[in-house]
Amino acid sequence: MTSPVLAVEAISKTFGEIQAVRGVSFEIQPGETYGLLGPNGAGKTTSINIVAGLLEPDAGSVRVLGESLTTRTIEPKRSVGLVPQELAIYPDLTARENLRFFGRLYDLAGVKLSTRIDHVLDVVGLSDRADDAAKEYSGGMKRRLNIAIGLLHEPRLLILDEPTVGVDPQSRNAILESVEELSSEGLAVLYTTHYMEEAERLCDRVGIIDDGEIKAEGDRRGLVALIGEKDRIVVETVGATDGVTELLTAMAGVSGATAVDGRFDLLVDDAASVLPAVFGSFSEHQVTVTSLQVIEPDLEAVFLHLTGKALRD
Amino acid sequence: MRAMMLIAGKDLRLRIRDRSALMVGLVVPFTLAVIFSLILGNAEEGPIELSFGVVDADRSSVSGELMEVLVSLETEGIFDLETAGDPDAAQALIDEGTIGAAIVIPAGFGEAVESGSGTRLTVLGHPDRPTSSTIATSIAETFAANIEGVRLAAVTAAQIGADVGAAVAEAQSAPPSVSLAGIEAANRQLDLTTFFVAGMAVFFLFFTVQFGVTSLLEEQREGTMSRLLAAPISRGAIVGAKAVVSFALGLVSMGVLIGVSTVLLGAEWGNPLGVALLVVGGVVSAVGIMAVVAAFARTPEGAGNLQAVIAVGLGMLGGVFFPAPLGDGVLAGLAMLTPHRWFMTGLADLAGGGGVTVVFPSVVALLGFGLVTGGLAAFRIRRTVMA
Repeated sequence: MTSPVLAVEAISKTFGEIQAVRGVSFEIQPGETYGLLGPNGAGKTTSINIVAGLLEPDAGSVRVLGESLTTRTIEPKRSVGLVPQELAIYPDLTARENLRFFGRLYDLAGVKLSTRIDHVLDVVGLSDRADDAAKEYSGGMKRRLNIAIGLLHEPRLLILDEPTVGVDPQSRNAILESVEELSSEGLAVLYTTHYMEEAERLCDRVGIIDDGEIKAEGDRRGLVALIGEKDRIVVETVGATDGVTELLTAMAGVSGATAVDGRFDLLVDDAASVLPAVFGSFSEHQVTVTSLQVIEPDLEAVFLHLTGKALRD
Repeated sequence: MRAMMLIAGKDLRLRIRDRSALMVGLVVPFTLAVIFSLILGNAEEGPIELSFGVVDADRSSVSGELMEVLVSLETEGIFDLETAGDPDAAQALIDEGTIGAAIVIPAGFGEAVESGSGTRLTVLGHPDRPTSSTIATSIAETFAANIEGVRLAAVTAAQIGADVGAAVAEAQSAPPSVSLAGIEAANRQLDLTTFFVAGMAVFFLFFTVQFGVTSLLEEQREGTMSRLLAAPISRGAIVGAKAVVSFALGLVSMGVLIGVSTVLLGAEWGNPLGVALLVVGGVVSAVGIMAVVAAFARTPEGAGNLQAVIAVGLGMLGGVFFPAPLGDGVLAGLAMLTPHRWFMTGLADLAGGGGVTVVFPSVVALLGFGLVTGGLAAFRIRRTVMA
């Protein structure tokens, strides 16, 4: 196993009477996207602020590429790109001027800086508006510029704090595609969201956070298994189906099967692993499959199970 | 240092781009200084140039004495004197601006004085030239007091049986009571043009420097503070950059105003090194005071409002709007608690012809203001904004 890009160990933070973060720990490997999924006020942003070196934790530690990162350290911050939840751009500067300023803070200069600026503008789709003042951008364009600044210095770890809040569907999709591409290129990504579908689409692993604590952690399947939820496979067929139900029920990995008017409803442990066998059974009995739907338990259900409340509460 | 200059450069670019600093730092103070100078300073700038009229309808020996006093003052170059035939002619001269005021000696004035029956001198004036009227009245009152002295000498001599003629002669030969020597600016006083330019410059300096220190709160509001804090730079560089921007804006504003007012308005600032020290001290004090206000404010708007109140209050208390003496009372004591007063005092000391050393007390006071308030601001910012 490679050494993690980010290792967060038992960080805690209290503001007055409120304990915002309680012993949060997690690690992120290169090329991995880790999601912190929780409702507003769960402790996501406080955790992010500690990880990015904006806040000093009361306890615990943050290590980036093995180096301790605190509010006072300088060098480890070069490996981190931050995309804050609030837009963090200068509206009176153009996109290019914003990027040039922040690039220089990371010691980029000359041709390399210009090249990187052109590259990230291309990644977020702002090349044609690069010399317009940011205040003239739409909300989605500002969000994309916000992300571009975080990517500019080629960080090893990219922290995205709810980057799609208040964004139109088109820009939102563009942002998610960018994150997927960056992750595939080996970037470690820490992604906070309260949108379940974003966490499911982007994240290799998810930490369910609530009341400042990580309640559970793992990939989607592991989290679903944790709460005992199963996949459903719904199959529409035509033709005689005698004996098929019994065959399916006896199949390994299938917990139950019912059939009504050629519509089969199967409860399975892992849809992907049993699908070939299911198809084989229908084929063996010369039953024609007209449609198939796999319904997996989502993280919303997991969150509800773990915290007793919905993600958008 | 590099990061600090990068942030300062960005802030200066933003300030130049939105033109607010240009307006507050240069255009407004210069315009106001010119307007004040034109309104209040034009007629009485430098040695006061006065013209008076006199109407002698009496032509007695007593009125001759007053005429003698007035002519002697004209001979000394203290004012110009015009003789008019009657009060209407004198008033016409006043109305057309040839003279500022006139003293009218009525017919029978001398006889009335000698008989002790009572009479009066009349002063004609114009509402737009109150200074001339005041001086003319003062001359008339002084002459009347002189006559009263002679009359009292005569009465006293008569009562004690002395020689009345000798007493009157002695009283009349006493040194003239009427003396207007030296109607010009005192040595340690700025000419009005320089006063108003300096006053407006130091007044608006406090508004100009606030752009720098208040931008710390703007970075928080815009969300860019989180990016700066996450960047591989020291937190001191962020705060330092704001101070550098304030300092640079203040220096440029003061420097340009001094240069332009010298060339265009003929302002006389005095020893350049002394002026430079005062400017640096003034800017340091302004940055410190505005920084401490920003450090205790929660929003840029809140800071701006409070800074405006404090800048106006200190400016008024420091006497930058009118060249009126503050005396030795409570007001004068309070004025010394303002950087404005020390700045103006330092300039006045230079105007008195002193070398650079005369401004040292003012410069020390100004730097003291800046260091104390700046230190307090830094302490507060470390505990709040940068925590």
